[in-house]
Amino acid sequence: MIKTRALLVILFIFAGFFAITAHLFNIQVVKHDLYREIAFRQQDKQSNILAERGMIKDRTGKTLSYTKRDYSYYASLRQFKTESAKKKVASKFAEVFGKSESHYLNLLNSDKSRVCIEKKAPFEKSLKLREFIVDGLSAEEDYTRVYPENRLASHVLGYVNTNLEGVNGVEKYFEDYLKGEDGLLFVQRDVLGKTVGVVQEYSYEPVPGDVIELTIDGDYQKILEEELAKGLNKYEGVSATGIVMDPNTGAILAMANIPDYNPGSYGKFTDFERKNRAIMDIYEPGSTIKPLVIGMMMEENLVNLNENIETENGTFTYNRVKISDTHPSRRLSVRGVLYESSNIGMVKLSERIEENTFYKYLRDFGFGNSSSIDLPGESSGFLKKPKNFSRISKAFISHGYEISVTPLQMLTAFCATINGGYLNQPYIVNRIKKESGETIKQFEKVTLRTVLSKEISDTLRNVLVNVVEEGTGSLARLDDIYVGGKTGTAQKWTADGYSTEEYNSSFIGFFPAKAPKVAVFVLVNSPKVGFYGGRVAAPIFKEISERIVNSDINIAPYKEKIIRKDQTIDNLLASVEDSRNDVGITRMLNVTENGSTVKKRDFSNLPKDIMPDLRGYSVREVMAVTSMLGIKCSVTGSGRVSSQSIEPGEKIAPGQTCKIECKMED
Amino acid sequence: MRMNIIIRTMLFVVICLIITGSLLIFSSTGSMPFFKGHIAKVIIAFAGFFVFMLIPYEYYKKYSKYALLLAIVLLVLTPLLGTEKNGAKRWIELWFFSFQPSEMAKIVLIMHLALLIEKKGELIVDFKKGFRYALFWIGLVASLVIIQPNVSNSVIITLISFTVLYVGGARLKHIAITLGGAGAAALATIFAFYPHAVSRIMAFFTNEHMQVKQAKIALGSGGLLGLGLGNSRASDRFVPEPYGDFIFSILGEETGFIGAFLVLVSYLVIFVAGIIISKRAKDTFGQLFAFGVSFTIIISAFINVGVVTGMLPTTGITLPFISFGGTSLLVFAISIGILMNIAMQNKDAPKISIEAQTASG
Repeated sequence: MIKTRALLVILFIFAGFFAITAHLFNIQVVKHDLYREIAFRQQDKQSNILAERGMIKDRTGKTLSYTKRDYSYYASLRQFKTESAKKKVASKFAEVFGKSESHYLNLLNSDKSRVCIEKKAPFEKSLKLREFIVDGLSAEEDYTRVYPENRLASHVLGYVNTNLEGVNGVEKYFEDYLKGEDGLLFVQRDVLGKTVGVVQEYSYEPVPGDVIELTIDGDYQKILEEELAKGLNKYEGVSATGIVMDPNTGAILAMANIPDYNPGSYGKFTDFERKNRAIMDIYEPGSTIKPLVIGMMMEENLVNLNENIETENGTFTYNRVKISDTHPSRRLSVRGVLYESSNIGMVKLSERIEENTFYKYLRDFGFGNSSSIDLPGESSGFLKKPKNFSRISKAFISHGYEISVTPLQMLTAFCATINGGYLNQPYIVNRIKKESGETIKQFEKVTLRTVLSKEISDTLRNVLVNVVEEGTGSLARLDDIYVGGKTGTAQKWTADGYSTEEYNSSFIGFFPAKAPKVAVFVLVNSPKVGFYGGRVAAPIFKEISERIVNSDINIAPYKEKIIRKDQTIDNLLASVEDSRNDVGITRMLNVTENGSTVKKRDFSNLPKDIMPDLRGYSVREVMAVTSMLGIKCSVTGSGRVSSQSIEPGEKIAPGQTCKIECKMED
Repeated sequence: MRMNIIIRTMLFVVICLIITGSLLIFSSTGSMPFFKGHIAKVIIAFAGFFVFMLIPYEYYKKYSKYALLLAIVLLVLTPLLGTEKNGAKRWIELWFFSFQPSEMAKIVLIMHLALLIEKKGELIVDFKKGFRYALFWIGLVASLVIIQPNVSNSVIITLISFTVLYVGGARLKHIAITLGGAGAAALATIFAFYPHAVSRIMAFFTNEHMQVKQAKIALGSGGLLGLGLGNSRASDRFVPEPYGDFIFSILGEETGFIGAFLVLVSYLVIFVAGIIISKRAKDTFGQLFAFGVSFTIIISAFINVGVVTGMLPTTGITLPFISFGGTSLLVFAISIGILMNIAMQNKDAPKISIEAQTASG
């Protein structure tokens, strides 16, 4: 053995050792960050586990919106090595989904690395594919937002985009609660992209979204929507809005607009249909503001309900602007101003209140400010500041012009006149619950301020009941319980000033009269039939209210048929002088009813065997008279009687039928 | 330095490497049966080690020719009886494990060359009287290995053999000429018949081999301190068959540069210990045999690490004592056993009780 040569070999070995060590150091220490990054990218994948979006329910627990979990099937084409694997997948999918095999083969032969071969497969189909395992085929959870009641409460609920993020309505406003928290799956993969394991340390379960329980009552909502749609169709308006509110709390029991849309396919609808007019549209309220103005004047001791106001036979020029009434009178009590909805009366009364006080009350009623309801996109309306008032501003605002409000603002303010004088914060969510059922947040009545004293509110409520019983709101009357309310008709402001063809016809009513539990707002935009709030919105209110009273026993547990005629007759017998000679002639009498004095037509002195002249009578009066006479009648049309099949003065026999034709008086 | 210390150090390091290997195999496969299989092989290897430690190495002088002939017969039989794996027949299935005759042939060839050089003495410098006999055996074994096909092992056998010849005193001119000639012939053969070897070599110069790339990623992500034993991510199929030739990448990933460096140092320690044993061996046969065996161990380790770190084209060379593979482990354990025996019979301490050594080991 030659030592020098051995030494040389040893030297080479040591050189090799240092070379390898240096190289290793370079890879492991110097380039560590680079390789770690490469390793991280190829080995690990973080994938979000979508949290299940929370449900939206109505106050009774009915589900209005939930999330359905479907599976979408994806093929990682890199992993499909053989044609037979593709064929296998294609034939299985063709069998399960009933599509052609070539459809799937086309997808599987695309040049993308990953294709979705079946989107949102229904549960029962995905069950069939559970046992079907092919390398490269993966099923992923795919959520769909479902609105099981279709269009019901669409404007309240809003909708979600394809990523299931709320875009409108409650879905948007409560996004943070509904969305939940996505989980994270920290997956380690091998070189083929197959999952090796899950790193528990970095992974966490998704937290499902919270459940939003609305104050909306599904039944009320359905009634409101159906009746609004019916009414809109009947009166040929452009759109209609309705809100049902608990006047004592401000909880919204129903809120609807027609036309509406289906949140599940919101993309197929126009912005016009998707607009929540109840909070977004502003309009001039017209006469519905009158009780509020009277209320504030009473509060300021500026008016006595029984004092008389000259109403100028329906035409009056105020500061060179012509004011007219639909129901002309020479003179009206302040009550009468509300019953007959006299603009002239309001204009005259408005002179008594100081501008700043007037403004302060309007602000107190919530005008000019958004109501801060928990819905997105609310408008705050428009209220002029006193410094911008013209000579006629106060007069016009007092009968509902020169002021813009949203339907919700108007109803909320109106409720303050009937609930004891409180302005409540309107709200639409009853509570928010965790998915497990635990309540996170309970919403309750929030009284913002007292606008009117209880006494004044109580008085106004009675006056409003009589607006329906005797005044312009007569078509809102229910058979079973007393309701109160106020009509509103506002000419729409157009480019040429106030239109004489386009109106906003509204009615705000409430029931039961003594202790209101429900307040209903109805607005029909540009009806082509009727125009007036009393003709268009009041009957819609009546239909809505009747159905609510019939469907919800809690509203009027002891309802009974109101026998108006008997009451009237009893009162008449006691106070009316005998005037049997004036055959077929009736007179208007002051009758005390429901705590206040109203005008009633007196037909107690009608002969029982002679047909009276019913022309000019209301349908209600016709019913009363004909039932008293014992004859049947069939009424067509609405409004006041224009013709009758049995001529006045003709002999009549019980059981005979009289055909009555009614027309709107204009 | 006392021989005792050298022997103990060497044994300690080898056992450390074997334990490390077992742990890495368990961590990279995560499979109990796999691990158990490896432990069985470790036990067999220890048995082999003890047997060869006890056999006085002088006996090999009598039987080395027959041993080499047996190895050659096995090599001839391999293509006929062998099990094909990855397109090559390198293994013969024995009762309980597959056996790779080329691994055995390697050590038997070194042994016979050592004996040849001792016998020929000064004649080794003469081509006709000495060198050509060595050349004959080297050529025969290398050729049989290359036709398996196992190009890299054949090249390494040639390299080790010529190193032994070089250290043993053969003339540099002979070595240079034959190496040049054999190299040219081998290259021609390779290019003509071994497209896969060519492609591997070409790939080394053009783009990185996938396995090497992944091995480097594994090493690199290990950093200085590593991810911790059992925390390898690359072993999840990023580095294919990480328990075999690429186990060093898992080692680097799990134990970091520190661990990888320590393993390299371990091989260096074994080598240096082997060189000392060689230097103190009582005869030329022992000296050259010990030198050849030590050189085989470290050159295998370096080539393996060189491949894994991308310094060399990919080969089928295992990492001694660590890689999964029965033949490799057994042959290297036997090598250590022979080294022990050579050490125990060194010229400084001719009388060492075998029992005492065993107990201390």
